[in-house]
Amino acid sequence: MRENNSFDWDKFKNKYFDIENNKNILNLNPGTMGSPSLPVINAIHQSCKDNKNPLNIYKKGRANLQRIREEANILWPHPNHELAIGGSTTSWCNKLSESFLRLWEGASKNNPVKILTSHHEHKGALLNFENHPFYQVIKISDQILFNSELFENFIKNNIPNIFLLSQKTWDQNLKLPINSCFKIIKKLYPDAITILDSAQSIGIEKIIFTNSDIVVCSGHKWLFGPQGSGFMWINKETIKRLPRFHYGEPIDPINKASYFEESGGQSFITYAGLLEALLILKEVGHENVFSKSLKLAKTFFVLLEKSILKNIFQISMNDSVILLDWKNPIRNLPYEYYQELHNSNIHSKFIKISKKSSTIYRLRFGLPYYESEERLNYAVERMVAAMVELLKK
Amino acid sequence: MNTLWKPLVYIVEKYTATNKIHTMESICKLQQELFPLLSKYHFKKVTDIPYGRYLIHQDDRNLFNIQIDVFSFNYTGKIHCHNTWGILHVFNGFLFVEDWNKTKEGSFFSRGGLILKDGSSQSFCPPISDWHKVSTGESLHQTISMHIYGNNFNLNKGIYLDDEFQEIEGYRSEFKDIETINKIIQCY
Repeated sequence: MRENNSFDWDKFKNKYFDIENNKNILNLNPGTMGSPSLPVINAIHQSCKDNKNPLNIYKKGRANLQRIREEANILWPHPNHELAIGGSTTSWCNKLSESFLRLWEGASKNNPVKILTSHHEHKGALLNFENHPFYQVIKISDQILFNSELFENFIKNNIPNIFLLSQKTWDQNLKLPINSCFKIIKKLYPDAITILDSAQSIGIEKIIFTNSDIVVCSGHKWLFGPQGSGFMWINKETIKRLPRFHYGEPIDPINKASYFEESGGQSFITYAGLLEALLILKEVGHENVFSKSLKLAKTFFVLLEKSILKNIFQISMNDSVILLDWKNPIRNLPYEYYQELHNSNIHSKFIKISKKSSTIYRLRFGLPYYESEERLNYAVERMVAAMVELLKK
Repeated sequence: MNTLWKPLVYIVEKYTATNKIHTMESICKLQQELFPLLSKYHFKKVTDIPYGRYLIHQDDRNLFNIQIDVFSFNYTGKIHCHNTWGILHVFNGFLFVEDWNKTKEGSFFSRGGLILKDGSSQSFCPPISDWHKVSTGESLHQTISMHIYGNNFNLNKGIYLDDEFQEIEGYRSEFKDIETINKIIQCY
């Protein structure tokens, strides 16, 4: 991976992202839902129009699915894993929660399947386990998670069936110690299933396959693909014991993970869009996406630090994400400000974290690689203006 | 050495005396131990300080050294490695730290970046985060940081990457007079 200064970003963003027609709209929340590129949108439109020949719809859909698999193999080489293509992280986790209960057949309210995880996991992945009476979710503190000795002792006293961690956390964009934790789990309890939630990583950085039995991620975030799309990689050994999602006819029988994909008639439109998202990532390259995004995050940070917002927020940066934590949140101001920004077409994520002694009110901004310094300048101007207006009230 | 720095040197000396093998965890532990002390150092003046390196202490057996770096505005350094463990702490302004990884095949890739603001620290221990690049921006305050480097750190020469991502050896800049720093720092 190298820094590439020769890439023509202006040409790229005008060709692939509809910046000209959306001058005053900034989606700085790709961690929730990225704005798809023009080729993705065009492919979806075209796919909608091709609706007169049912046989061809199936044929083309299957061909796109197989092509996505080929392209994904190039973008994220995974010799020890099989790839299932389909829905979002939440959707994969919903289905996995049912599948695991067939793997651990003795599971009950009194004998729940034990899931160990961090305090940073997103509800989308975790809630289906947390709310299910047959699962027990145990959250491990950062202090233990980041200390291998403490972590080893902890899991010896809390033997997991499943261990789930995010590659990057949704609340802070924090890198969790995946390599060390998964390695320890696999060393001590090889039958435990490790799940990596790469929802905030795919499209912007490499996926950690080592010691990950299952990797789940969404295509509609930093990959800028169609809504509700995503991937699930399953280790070749794990796939032998993991109860399949269905026993019907697989859509792509050559692929061993196809029993974890949808079967029969489905949204083939999604595949047309998802393929385009992968082709763009291949063209730009992971290294360019990451370094450009990082550069923009630094620019955004500097602009914010120079503004009056510095007095209101604690500003921090973790890779491509900028976090604005309210220093002295008054009444409902944090949410009102978020709404005000939303109304000004500056889109971010509002995060409220309640702790015993205090509550953190946070705005999370993600920096898509196709953005520009000029537009970030505009965003900060709008953010300052919105704050001034709000404080006047 | 100015007495102001003695508690700092003492803690690192104690660490190197009891730790012969260094891991990311042991360095992070040292970082945590140093944190309350480092937060007591304050600069009386934070602008127009001559940029460059200032040596606080070098261990007789070269087990560690402690330096202060004063940066110019909009500075961008080269990607470099240390070949030893280290702790980076920002006293003033902010430092953009970009971490790079070297693959087994010898190529390099960017693995992340963060802003270290005043009062924050970062650790590294080969192979984790040993390659990095630092830069500053425009700010009201100059960036002033402290760097603790571990055993066998070469004070005169370093390994950098050129524009073609080839490893090259280069001379480091001369140390400036630490008295300049001692005159403007206080510990309380």
